[in-house]
Amino acid sequence: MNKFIEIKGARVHNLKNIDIRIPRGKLTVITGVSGSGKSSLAFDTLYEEGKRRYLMFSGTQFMVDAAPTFDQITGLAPTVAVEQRIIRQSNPRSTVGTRTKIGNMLAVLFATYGKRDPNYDDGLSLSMDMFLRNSPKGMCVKCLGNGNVYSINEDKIFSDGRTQLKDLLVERLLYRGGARKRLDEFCSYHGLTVTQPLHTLNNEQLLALKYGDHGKTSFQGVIPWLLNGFKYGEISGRQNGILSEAYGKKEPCSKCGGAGLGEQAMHTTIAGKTITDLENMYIRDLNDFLTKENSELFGMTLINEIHLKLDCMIDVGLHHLSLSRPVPTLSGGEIQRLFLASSIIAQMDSIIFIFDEPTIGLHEIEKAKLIQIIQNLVNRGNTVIAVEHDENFMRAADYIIDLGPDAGIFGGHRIFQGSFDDFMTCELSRTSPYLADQKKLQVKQTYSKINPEKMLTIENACLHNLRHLTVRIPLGVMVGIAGVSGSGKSSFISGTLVPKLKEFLTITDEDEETVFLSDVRVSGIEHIKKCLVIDQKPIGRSRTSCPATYTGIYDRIRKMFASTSDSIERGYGAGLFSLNSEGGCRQCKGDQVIKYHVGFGNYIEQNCDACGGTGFIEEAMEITIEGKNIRQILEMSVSEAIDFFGNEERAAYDKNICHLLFTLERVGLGYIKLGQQTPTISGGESQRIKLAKELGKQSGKDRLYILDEPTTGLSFSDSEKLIKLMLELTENGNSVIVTEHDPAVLSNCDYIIELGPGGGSDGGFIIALGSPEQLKRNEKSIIGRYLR
Amino acid sequence: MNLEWQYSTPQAEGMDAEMLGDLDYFIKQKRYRLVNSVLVVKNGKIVFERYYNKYNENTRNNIKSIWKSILSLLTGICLDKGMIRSLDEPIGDYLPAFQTGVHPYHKALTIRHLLTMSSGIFWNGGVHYHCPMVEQMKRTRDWIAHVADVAMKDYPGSSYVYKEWDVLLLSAVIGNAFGNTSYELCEQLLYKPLGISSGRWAESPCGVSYTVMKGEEHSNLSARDLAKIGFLVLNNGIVEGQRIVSEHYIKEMLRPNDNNSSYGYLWWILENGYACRGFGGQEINILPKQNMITVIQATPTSSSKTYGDIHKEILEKSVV
Repeated sequence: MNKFIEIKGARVHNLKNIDIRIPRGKLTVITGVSGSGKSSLAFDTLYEEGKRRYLMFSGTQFMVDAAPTFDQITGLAPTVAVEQRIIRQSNPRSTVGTRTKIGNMLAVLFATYGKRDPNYDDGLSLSMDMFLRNSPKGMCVKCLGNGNVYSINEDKIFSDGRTQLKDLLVERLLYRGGARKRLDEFCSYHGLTVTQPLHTLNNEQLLALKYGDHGKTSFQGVIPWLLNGFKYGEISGRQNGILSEAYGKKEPCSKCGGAGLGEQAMHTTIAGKTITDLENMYIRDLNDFLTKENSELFGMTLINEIHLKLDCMIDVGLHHLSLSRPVPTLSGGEIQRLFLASSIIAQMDSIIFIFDEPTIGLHEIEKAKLIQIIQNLVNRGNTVIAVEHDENFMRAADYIIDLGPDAGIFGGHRIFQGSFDDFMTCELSRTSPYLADQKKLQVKQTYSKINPEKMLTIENACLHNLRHLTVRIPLGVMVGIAGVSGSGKSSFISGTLVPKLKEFLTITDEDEETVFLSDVRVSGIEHIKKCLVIDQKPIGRSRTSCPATYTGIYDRIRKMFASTSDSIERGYGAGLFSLNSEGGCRQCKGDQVIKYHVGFGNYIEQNCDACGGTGFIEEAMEITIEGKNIRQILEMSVSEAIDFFGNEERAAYDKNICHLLFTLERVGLGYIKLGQQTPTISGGESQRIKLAKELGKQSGKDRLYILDEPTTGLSFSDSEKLIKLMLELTENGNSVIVTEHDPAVLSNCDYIIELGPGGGSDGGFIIALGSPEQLKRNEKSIIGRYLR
Repeated sequence: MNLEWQYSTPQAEGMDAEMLGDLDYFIKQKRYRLVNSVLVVKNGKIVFERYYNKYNENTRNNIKSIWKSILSLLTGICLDKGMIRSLDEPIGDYLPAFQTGVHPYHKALTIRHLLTMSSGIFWNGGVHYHCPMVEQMKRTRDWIAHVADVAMKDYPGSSYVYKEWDVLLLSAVIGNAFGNTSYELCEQLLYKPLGISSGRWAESPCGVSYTVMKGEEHSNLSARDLAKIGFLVLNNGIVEGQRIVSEHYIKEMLRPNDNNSSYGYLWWILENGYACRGFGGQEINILPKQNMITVIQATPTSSSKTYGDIHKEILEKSVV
């Protein structure tokens, strides 16, 4: 058997026809600055080919590549990859339980061995679906499996007969924006005026006002409008907050008590617990429970299988989650570890595993455990290849591959391959100097003074495991939120603070569902003008969205193309240079490739013949600026584009485009292509694109930036750039709240709030507060000992 | 008093006998193996009658959703007899579970909404008659309370959604209005005068007549029985000189509703007439201009077959 996987002449994306050797049965780390070609090598070359060969062997699929991306690969085995960028998109109803299938296994267990309450036992057998809240056979009919029901306090709206129609709702929300037009239409149809008091309406008019007039006008009625607004988000986030505070109530469903299941399921127990009880337990507690009740339980094979899965999840640091936790509320790192857990469960050997920064989202003390698990995979006879920036992880590796030296066209060379010790002496690498301690990340020595007058105070934060916390967050400085996984960082920031701020401020954040936290109080909001949540969710949903469209650069490029003399002469408008408009190839609709279904849910992608894989129609491709057509420009990296658009002497010069491109480069995205498609952009990259877009706008004061692990996926040198940028924000009078594990970032904060001590039922307390210096001396702090 | 059928020939009543005669061939050609009966009544007389699969004029076949249209006629009878005051009465007047304010929309839910499939109650389509939510209901004791708990999707009357909830509730409403079950009401005031013989409809544990459940076969009717229902509607509610349903109600029943122009009160409205439809190919078609009724019955299977072309291509086109 081959001792090495050998790749000859790899050249996908920016890889420069390189030869690579990777030892089998070892742990290999691929490193290099962002955009140096790590993912191109690990995922686009190794994984794609491994997958292709395995599927060809098993006869389930045949694939033909559009163009060969390498000369030869030998020594491959079946390959499994856990990529972050792909697994982020998920169904809002999917939970940890549904994703791992443990929910289904519990459902089978309950359907087969559950003890039924004699009062609800109809003598018919139970079925598995009855224990699944996403199944129409199982879901509670009242809340449709949601667990919560919305209701509106009608009396509060209609009890005072003196109220004028336009003033019916708080802040005149019934007579504002789109609603104003509809109420006007309603009034004129029914012979009313908006200033008429409520008591002057006859019964029929009042009924129509409350519940709508069956489509006679576009006014749907106050109550349906409020109800639909809550359910389907027809009312904006801010308005929704105000309206729900005033009239709405989201309460646990009275029929199922929040379980989301039907009667039969609710009255079936195992060891005295319902399936809902079990799903709400933290995974560690659930595992303990099943162990404790072991002797009492039936269905041992099933339970052993559940144990096995739960054990793996605990091992990868997911003990603090419950099965009922919705997947969209997990962090990128947690999602990846969820997949890691399911790979380990399979207990295979001779497999090649490829991971994408598996340490993301882990606290320093948790990383050691993860490294141990991955080493166990290797000891069992598997090959593990990880794209990683973490120092400890690299130290644990048997073999290092460094790509670079820089990003994009300046990267793609093999800088190093060999042992960690030899890597220390490598002079060309951008990474090794940091590891060899020749170069140190800068750490701030003086902290910004905290103004006790300018504080944001949150009282009684109690979501998930938070213990009714009262937290004072200093403004105008950089604040770090630290703590082990599950200690409550996300529950506190994205679960409590952000939704609460949403009620009072305009927040730049897409369609997140608003939660109502009436018990939480916030004060000090007057010090903030605007709040910007910069998260890791994908930029744009459409297939054709890319950094250029998201940042708005594309609009200017299109106009630039439309204003060339050739375009004017031929009468081409800006739309011709857009994939989503006239310019998109008729055949592939701008996708550049055509997918052929080859049976069993498998597809082959082939370059589109009609447009030659450009995605554009011929007319669009004929127009050039400085010799470059629209596709060539979209294929440029940010850094290349700066050269192209940044030269004042040339026709392509554009100040605004340049300004945005510079900001993209400053956040470490010089390597990203203008036209890179959203699905291939990682969570960390999305976040930095969003950050760049915000930074590229007019700078302001008194803004609050909320970031979640912004250094995800960044090499040491890129992290350094990003930290500088965040510090600049605070120097300009803004506030930054950053959730982080990276000691380098935390050491540069002015104030750290550390949650803990453990995760899940062991977390939810504040264990330390203060400057990094203070935390280093604080014995209770866990992160303190890792700070620089 | 009973409706006694008279008989005639196609030629005598203005129909093309040869074309009708091609039916056997047509059915064979189309492989309609599940079709059991085809019946044509013209000018009040049976002119054409064909049975397959060992069926005869007395064999009773599943009626499926034709039951809905029968309930509509019963509602008219209740209205005529003053058992219900108006179609705009809230159903809460008859069903206490809808009076307790489980949902604010309930007080606006009227009998007319049930007749027009616009109660607004959430419905999960699924494959018809295998609706998972109905399955859930069937495992509870108080079905009506269960339906009252189901989420409200739309304000009553604002949108048409074909669903079981509305007819089940209607059966409960008219049963209560009558002071017994809707089956008793049907038996005494509709089936008996028409001479229709049916078994007792199945009942929910809470005593509401319903058909699509265990014991469904008791509600089966013969092709001639279905033709009698068609005959009653064709004659605006009078059979053999006896008024069974008011003309006023029949006219209203067959008027297109606000949210679906091809649906009246649980009756389908055709371009040139009116119809009942049941899962698996059950049909009653009424063509007033031709003074004609056609009935088709078939064995329902999960594949939800229909045989609309028998009426459209053969029976209707046979009129000379």
